Amino acid sequence: MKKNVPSGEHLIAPHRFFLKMLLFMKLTIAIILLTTFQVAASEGNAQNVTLQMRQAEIQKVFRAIEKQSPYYFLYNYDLPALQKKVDVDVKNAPVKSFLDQLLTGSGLTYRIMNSKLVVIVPLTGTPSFQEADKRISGTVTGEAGEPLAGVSIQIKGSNFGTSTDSKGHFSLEVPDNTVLIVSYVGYESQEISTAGQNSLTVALKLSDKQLDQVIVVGYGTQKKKDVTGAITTISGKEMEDRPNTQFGYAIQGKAAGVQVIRPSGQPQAGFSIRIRGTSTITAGSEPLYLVDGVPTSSTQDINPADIESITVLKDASAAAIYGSSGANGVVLITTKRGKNQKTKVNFNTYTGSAKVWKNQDVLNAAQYKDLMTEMGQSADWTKYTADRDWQKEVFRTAKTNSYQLSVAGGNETTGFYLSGGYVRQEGVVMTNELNRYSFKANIDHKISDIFKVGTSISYSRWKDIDVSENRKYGSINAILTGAPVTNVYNTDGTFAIHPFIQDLENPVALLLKNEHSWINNRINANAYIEATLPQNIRLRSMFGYEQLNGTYNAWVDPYRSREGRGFNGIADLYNNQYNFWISENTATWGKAIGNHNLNLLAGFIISEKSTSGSNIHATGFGSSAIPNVSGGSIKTSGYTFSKRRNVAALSRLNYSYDGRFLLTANFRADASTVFSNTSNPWGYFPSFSGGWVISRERFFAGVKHVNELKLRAGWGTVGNDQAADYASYGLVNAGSYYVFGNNVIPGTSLQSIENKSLKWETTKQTNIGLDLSLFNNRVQITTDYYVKQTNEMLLNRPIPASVGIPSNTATKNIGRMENRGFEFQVSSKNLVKELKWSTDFNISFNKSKIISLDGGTIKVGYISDRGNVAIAKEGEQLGLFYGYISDGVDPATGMIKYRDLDNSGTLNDADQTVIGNANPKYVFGLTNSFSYKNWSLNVFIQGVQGNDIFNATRIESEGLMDEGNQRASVLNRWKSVGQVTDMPKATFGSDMNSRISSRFIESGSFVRLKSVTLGYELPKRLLTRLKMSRLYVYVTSENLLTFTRYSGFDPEVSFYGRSTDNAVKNIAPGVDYGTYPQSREFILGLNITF
Amino acid sequence: MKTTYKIVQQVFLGMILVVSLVSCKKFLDIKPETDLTTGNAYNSAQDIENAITGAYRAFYYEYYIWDNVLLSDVRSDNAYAGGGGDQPILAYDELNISTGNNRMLADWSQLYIGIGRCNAILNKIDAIADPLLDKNSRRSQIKGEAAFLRAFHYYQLVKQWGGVPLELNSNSSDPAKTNLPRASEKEVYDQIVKDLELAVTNLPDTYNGPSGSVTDNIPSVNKVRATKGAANALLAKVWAQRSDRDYNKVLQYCNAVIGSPSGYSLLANYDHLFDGDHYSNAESILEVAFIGGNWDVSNWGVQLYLAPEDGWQKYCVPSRNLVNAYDAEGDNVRKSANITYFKDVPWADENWNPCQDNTVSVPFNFKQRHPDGWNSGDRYYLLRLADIILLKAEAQNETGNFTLAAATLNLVRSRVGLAPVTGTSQAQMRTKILNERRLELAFEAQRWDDLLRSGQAVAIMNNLGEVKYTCAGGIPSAPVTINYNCNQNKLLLPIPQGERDANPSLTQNAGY
Repeated sequence: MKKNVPSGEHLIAPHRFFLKMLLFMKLTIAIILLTTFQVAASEGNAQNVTLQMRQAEIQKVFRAIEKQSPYYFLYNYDLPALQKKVDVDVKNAPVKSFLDQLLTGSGLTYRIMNSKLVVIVPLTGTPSFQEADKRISGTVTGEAGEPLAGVSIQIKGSNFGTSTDSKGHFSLEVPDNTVLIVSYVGYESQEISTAGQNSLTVALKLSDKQLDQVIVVGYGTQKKKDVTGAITTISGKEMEDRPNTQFGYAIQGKAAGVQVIRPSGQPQAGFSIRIRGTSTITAGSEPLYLVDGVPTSSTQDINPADIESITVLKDASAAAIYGSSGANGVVLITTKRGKNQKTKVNFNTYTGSAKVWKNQDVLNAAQYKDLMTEMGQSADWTKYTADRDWQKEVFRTAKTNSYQLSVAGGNETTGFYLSGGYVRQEGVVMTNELNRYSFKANIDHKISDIFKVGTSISYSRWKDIDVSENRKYGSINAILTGAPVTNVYNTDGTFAIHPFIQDLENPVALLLKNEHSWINNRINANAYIEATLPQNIRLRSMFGYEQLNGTYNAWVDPYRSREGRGFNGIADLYNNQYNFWISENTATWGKAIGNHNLNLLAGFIISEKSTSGSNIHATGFGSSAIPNVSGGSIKTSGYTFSKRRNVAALSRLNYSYDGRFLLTANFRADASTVFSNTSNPWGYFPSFSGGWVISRERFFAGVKHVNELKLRAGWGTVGNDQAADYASYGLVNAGSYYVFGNNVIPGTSLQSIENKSLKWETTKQTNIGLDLSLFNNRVQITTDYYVKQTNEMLLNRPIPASVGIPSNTATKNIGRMENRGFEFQVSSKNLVKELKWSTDFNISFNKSKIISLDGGTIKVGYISDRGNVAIAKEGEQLGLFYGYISDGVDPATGMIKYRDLDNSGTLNDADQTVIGNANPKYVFGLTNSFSYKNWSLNVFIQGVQGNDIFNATRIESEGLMDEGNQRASVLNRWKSVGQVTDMPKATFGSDMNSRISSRFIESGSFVRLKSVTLGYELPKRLLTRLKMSRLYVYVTSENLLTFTRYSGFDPEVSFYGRSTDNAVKNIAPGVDYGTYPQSREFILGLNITF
Repeated sequence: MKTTYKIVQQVFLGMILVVSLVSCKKFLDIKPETDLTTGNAYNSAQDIENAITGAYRAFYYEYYIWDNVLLSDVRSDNAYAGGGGDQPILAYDELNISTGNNRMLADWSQLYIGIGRCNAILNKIDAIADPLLDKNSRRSQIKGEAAFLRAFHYYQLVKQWGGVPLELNSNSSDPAKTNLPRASEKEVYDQIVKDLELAVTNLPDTYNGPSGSVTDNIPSVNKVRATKGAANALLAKVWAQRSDRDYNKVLQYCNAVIGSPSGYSLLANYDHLFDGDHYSNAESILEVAFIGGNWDVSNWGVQLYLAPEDGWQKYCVPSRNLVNAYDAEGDNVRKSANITYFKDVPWADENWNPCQDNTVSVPFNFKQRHPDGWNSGDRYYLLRLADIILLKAEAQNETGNFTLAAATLNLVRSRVGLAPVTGTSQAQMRTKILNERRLELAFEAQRWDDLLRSGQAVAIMNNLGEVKYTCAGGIPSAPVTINYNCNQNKLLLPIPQGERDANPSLTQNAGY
């Protein structure tokens, strides 16, 4: 029988057809839901058909019968008799008698197999039907003999088939001498002849071919071999075998072109992702994150254990389908779902402890007193007899515990995944901690052959206590500059105060005085209904919702701290709420004609996002008895609310010819209310990409060792609307009261400048890539080159304060910038026998250039009393440091010699220049995995090379100008004329030696043994005795070794990484201003599956 | 069957189309809900009343809460920074202000925000058609109030920085319009005078009360809103302060204030001006109003000067030189009204009490007296009659009439029980008037301007002989002389570096 099925998809002809549409409108928002719509026969008379057709080909009549009855037809498409045209008019006729009548004189006959399958054969017969049909049964297993549930068994050349049950069994009535296709995701498909067999045992092999993998792309899935854009996928396995509290940590260093930034070592600090560099200056540059298709605002409280896979869409042609928010790339997170399988229970737990891996030497009490005396500062030292290193008081061994339990299972119609988890992680700085509880339920159900519904619901509760950092008196700067001579408490129980700085308490007091915590509750849920219609049409309607409630409570008691005493106690309460909903409706259609394969997608999406916040601030407490805002006698409060909406229409065409030529075209139109005060809120985002699978060309047939070779090229445009919700409005604040006649009178005040010409920021990206698979697919190489140009950037342009706008900025479309880069990723299976060794390596190069900035510069990154350290400037890269050039210490005066660039003889602004570059030349990740019998070892090395760090912590701790303690390095300070040293003299009250200069620039390059995991899997025979299917124990060390010349606590710094101001995040990376360091962690874990 | 599918498909697609076309426009039309916009905030009489109220609120900015005192009294010979090592403020005290001093940038910004609010009103008010606005001449009064407030802020800018950009629109972000070069000092003063002359014309001596009657004179309104008297008073100060000063005009405007139908008069008891029980008094021409205990409208600045019991060193510590000046004059009334003493303060003070000796009395700025946990109702005078009377004396002296000047000066002296002075020469009267202003107006943000006007600033600052001490083993060290290194360039503040980054057309003052 010739294979001639209309499509490779598992299109099962329906025997019932229901379709009904419900239109729900509210505020003119329509949410279209597809439910059932009964059209034809019900199950009761399924054996009968009612048909009225004129001049219809016989095969079309078969299709019509399929629609009304449970029968499937199997026939050879090439039989000319099938094209015979007939008139049909029957009412409620039994199928059998109708077929007898229909086929009379057609030269065809039929045979009905196990009550459903109708095999059509020519009357003359073929050998294959001379034998009787028979029932064949069998078992499908994996490589290790474990039964596989849900494996598809299909008769080749038909749509007919079945799937295995939870024990891997199947049974099917077939004509003899047919060929069965046995296929399962992640395994290599097999074709098996039934000739002469009654029972089969099929062992499927795990697929080596990454290219055969099905990966999640925007609004659907695609085989990797058909992908034409730049896409990286990371499997959930990365998450399983290396414990991480946040999924971002697990993909750090694993994907070329994807830079994961951990802005701080605080457990709740989260992460930022930059895909192919930062492509805008003051607008948001975080990629779009979607969990099961729903955009999410909070990446931190996603439980990594629930993740099945992560897909990163890097180039414009891949991301363009998300037009409006795709400019910074897209991260698609797919969570685990149950399928037709034996119920699987998984329990995963680990415990760990972390410590800072490096301390700083600081002055002891005697050395501190010497320095103060040298600077003319003297206290009554008899009152200050302590000698302490505040690092010892504040840093601690931090504990982590995690417990995760999941249950997954299902049958042919329903699949479920349930999970619950709890993580508690302490930070290495006292008081700092994070607690996360998470629950997830994913359910899918097939109502009929047409309709499928499902839902994903996740809830998480998050509680954290954060500590201040990246500030002059933030916790990390404070432990270096805190006076070593004081105690924590005075004898009366109040916090001991600095001997010179009267409003500064000791570093422990700074952490203890303000008792505070954030509690966040997050719900992210979606529900979908999918209708699979004939002719490969699929309609999908999804409604997604996310809500985030955050509560912050803070309390400074009225006695212990000077701040508390000044206000008689302080309490704060913030309540924040974030609401997001999205309605997504898509239709897809696929058709194969000969070697041409066509897929179309069209969709319509609306969404709304709103944020609100209220706060109460209270002071004037009578006692400590009520440590919250209720107890205060003087209160203020505030409320903010803002909202944005998006509307989009999208379409995509995928076309391939003979698997050799691939084409993808996207077009998306987006409207955003950010531009609602302008003439046109719409932006249009087209993209195109193509692929040429050279390895499938005939001329390539003789090439040995090359399994796959594909060239990809793409171009596209994506948009960015990540400006403030009301950026186009001139805002006027209504809270500007004043007092007339001893009464409070309401007033208003101007807040921002209206911009009626604001529009979408657009990023054009060109990508050229190559996929290569060698040596029996043991080596896979992907490499890409891209040019990304952002135009009409949404820029919060600094405007002179003299305009009179409080923010001193205006949002405008200004300037252009470019990122160019090269990515290379290789995975190789070096050894595949009993000792297995595989290597994954990726390296990325990216270089940005600000092409135009409206003639201006933007300086951000404020260092206390020194000014801004980072600059965005035309013609330069983004992320540069700006200041004076230090030529070292003048032996004659002990002062830093700054280079007089303008030869004016004095130090002035014109002597400032670019003094460093925070951008790495390249970043790489190298993972080596070994396994031998039941043992496995995973070694992950991460490297960042060629970047500078501005060590502003040293401005405070080597500034030698105020009453703060200093690093021990200042013992080398200049003390006498002629002394040659790199440490200037102490100059109390003068910042001349500690201005922003190249003195504080250091190399930020590092190579880090980011994680090492040694695991052991219990042997099978023991497992059977324990009634388990898997037991895995492991030890992991994070940040075990770090090779760097950087003198601070840790080179993985990002000064304003936690800032909410996009401008400082984008322009001022790589500044260490008392950044909370990454710690070294040891973890012991256990993973059990029943 | 096929037809059914087609219908379903068409209905589905059709609905998408209909929904998208019909409701998109409406769906996408959203407006701010917790803010007004420039489109809906300036359309009615009440809108513009709200806007002018908001413009007055600029007096709650830190510049007017206390930075003006730091830039005048701390910067001059009246006070030490105190506060325990706050670098930007120490820099004000030590005349060591760098272009990157963020406090100074904030001061600059706050004054321009005040100006921006006035600009918005002056730009919008004429287009408002609401007839209510022309009842009781409110339209012209509000224009007068906005012009007065704008002049008040520009006056602060020009005396601190010299010529500054003259922004009169505040409605564009176009660099061609925003990146204004610095106007000359004269141009700024001319604009100030122009605004004030409009204010004098438009503003009433007193505002209508609730009954709509002019006789309904409510001090708590008339001392808080700009009046004709306030505009005349500021004109007097402006004509004295500008480099091309005109003392005849000073005299003219001082007399306009003194003879005003508003009936300004000196309080008999100097202490009542500051005791917290007598605000909106007859001597007050313009004051910043607060209500204690209400965070939105209270004065948090007093705690910076007082309430030593909260444990940290207070700012603006009266200097030895000032204390000596009171003592030399035997001026106990004003000394005790302006300075108070506490013993046993929980910090060391390098000027007064280096070894934290609990028997030593340390002086505090006592001009406002009720810290109330950062939540005070104490007010500041922006303009008061004693200042104008002393300015009149100065004008009389400068126009050659030092005898009359002495008589005017004695009006202020006699109220605090000091013996009258007699004018013997213009030069002698200059010294006496300068000293009298210092004693009368200490901690009211006048001293630095007075020093500048007198031409004595450099000489006085470099000959102060102020000292500080260190402490060793519980014993104060020998006094260390504080050297202020004042020179002509330090009399003006540098243009803030942040502002020069944003506006490249700004030039820097000499010496920075």
